[in-house]
Amino acid sequence: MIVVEGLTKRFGKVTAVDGLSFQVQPGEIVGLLGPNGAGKTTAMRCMCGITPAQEGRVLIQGVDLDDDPVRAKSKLAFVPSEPRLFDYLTVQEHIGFFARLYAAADGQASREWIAEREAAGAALLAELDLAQRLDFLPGALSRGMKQKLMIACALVHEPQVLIFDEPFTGLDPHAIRKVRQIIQNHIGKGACVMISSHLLGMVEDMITSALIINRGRKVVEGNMDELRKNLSAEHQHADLEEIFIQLTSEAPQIERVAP
Amino acid sequence: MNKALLYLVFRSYRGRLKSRLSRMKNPRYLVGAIFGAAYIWIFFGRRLSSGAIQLPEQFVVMIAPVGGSILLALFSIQWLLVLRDGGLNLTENEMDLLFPAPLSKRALLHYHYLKAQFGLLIASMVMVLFMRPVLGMSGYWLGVALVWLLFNALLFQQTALDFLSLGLVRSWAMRSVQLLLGLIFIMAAAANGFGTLIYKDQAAPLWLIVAQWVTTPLQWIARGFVGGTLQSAITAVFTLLAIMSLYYLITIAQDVSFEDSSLLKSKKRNRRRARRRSERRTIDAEKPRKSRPTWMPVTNMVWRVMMSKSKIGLLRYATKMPIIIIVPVVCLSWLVFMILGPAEMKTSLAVMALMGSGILMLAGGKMLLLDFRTELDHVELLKSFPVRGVHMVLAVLGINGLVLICIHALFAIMFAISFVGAPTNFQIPYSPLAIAITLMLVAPVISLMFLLLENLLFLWLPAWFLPEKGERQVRGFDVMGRRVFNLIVRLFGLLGLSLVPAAVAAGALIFVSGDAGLLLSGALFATVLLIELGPIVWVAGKCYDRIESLGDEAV
Repeated sequence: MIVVEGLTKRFGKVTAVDGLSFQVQPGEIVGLLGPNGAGKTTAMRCMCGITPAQEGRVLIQGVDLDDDPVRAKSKLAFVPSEPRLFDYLTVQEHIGFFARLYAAADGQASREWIAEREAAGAALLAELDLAQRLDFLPGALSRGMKQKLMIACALVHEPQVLIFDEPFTGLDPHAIRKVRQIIQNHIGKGACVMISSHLLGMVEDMITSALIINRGRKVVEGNMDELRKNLSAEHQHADLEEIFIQLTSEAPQIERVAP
Repeated sequence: MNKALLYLVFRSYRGRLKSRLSRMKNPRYLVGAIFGAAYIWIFFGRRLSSGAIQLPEQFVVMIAPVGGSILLALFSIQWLLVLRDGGLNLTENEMDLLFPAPLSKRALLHYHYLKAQFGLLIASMVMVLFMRPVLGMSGYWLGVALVWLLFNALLFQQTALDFLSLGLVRSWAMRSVQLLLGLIFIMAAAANGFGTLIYKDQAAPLWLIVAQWVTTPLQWIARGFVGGTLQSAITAVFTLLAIMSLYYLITIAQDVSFEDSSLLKSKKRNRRRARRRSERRTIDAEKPRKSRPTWMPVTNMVWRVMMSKSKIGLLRYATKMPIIIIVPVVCLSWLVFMILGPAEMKTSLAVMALMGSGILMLAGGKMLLLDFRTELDHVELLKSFPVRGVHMVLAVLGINGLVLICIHALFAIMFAISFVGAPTNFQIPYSPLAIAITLMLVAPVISLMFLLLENLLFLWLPAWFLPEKGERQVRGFDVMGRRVFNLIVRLFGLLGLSLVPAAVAAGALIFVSGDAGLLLSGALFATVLLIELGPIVWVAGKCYDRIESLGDEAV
């Protein structure tokens, strides 16, 4: 479960995220949507501790990210929009590293636990068609392959909170389907997911609700029916893309939050 | 230390090593590595096996305070940098992967220290190889340990100051205090260094006693480097460990958030690198495609590339390269001396002009930096031009050739004028004018030959001349191999290619005497050498054609 309360992040005079509050319950997939520069990536990076927020708090499975960052982070996984990997670790070593990283954090640093996680990672790699490239360095992988490896690394420790920033960029249709399936499997196990993407047609089928932000502030939040309530009568059958365009092309200061 | 981070560091080192070794499957790189290893062994191998070097005690007593001052100044420089970004030296990749991971700040700090160790160790090994002949050290490896600890003390200090700048030293008042302390340390270093030399045999004044007191721990370290005894080395080791411990305690006492500053630091570093790369780029992506002269005898594209290069190159000379300033200033000063100076001076000036020409002959290509050393960075762009390799080689090197000819001509003219009317002790059977014209003919062609041979190497082993991702420059055996190759190619190139032209020139000198003979022999030498350069251009062009993408070579 993710609880975000009054999250604010400023870069000098620019406020990238302005008092953002929302919750993601177990079993939910929430789409974090917004135009370019809306503050989606900054909000996500604040939520997983890459960059600290100036105000507000983030609770991951009830643990405050500021008070106990190690315990909070041990329960989450983050997949950034740009797949940046360690230049001199092979595909297999990336999985080994992440298994060890979370084993130490959970206090379960037994060899059996690490071996089990490595096996799970190997299965994920096989599922994502990377089994033939276990000994490759990231420099020899395409962007899509790097993205798949990032996703596999993030899921090695069976996280309860998943934060995906543009996870489908660079993936082929087969891989997109597989990643969606993997996300659904985690949801089935009680995880909660926050996903940001501009491929609205694709995420519409996946998400249980959406959070649309603009200029760092929340514009609207809710499931598809709740989102449509913010539109005029003629758009009551609009899809997510239409809703997005209608809500983000108007004056940005308007804040309409569904009940 | 977090085991996962240890795994990351050591596996990364192993991966880097394997990546380098796997390149050796290519025989060209294997030969280069063997040459590199041989180079290291021949130049430094003997120093490795030699035992302790004991310097005279009197020298040690005299040099230790000065060494202490130098070390204090070295440490103090970091104190003067009050406008630091703070944070850890992590790449964006590391931050994206490690900051969301369940790692404590202390674990990240340890990772920051640990990942620097291999580089510091290699740097220490190389530095001690160079330093050993002048410093007294108790064995090579003890010297390496000392230098390695010294580097670590500097790293720990830098990190502590970075953390202080995020916490305690954020206000301008505190920054002023830090700056003041840094200045006091520098002054103490200077006072101790000079004072010790001035008051060698006299009673030290109070200020010197204070300066000596401030530099005492650093003098212990300096004694470790010059003392040559095990005792002095052990004292230095413990002093360095104490400094490191102190700075470590200061660092962990600062409960600061370093994520944003680390990101900022990394972004600034990347921006600097990107700017450097774009500055080095000499072929504009668009310009060569736009101009369309049709009258040129060579391929249009070649002309366009040359135009683009010459324009960007000239702009660079005007803004960056000192050559455009240095050469006219040297020439103007020389002219003033020639007109106003005494006649005896003219001979020296002529010799200086000759030497300048010789230096340019050896280093001219390197100074201009308008060759494949820079162009290989964006070989994909070059390959997108519809130009054959031979033409591309001519286009890229043509501008260099023209500039070299102009500069050599300038120096040759200076040489000629210097000798006119100057009293000389040299018994030369030729007039200065004839010598100058011969120089003008021969020197640029020899420069061109060096430039071509070097570029042939770049095109033959492109991956060697490009830094790997995330590195500022090419490192390791590749560099050594490159240097050896450069030396060998230059030496054998000069010897091999000069044989026929020299024989022809000598024949002309035998049959025609006087200035005419010299001029004829110079012209023949230059012409034959120029003809010999044709096949080199052709081979370089073939090598260029062979390059598909640097990714294939580098990975």
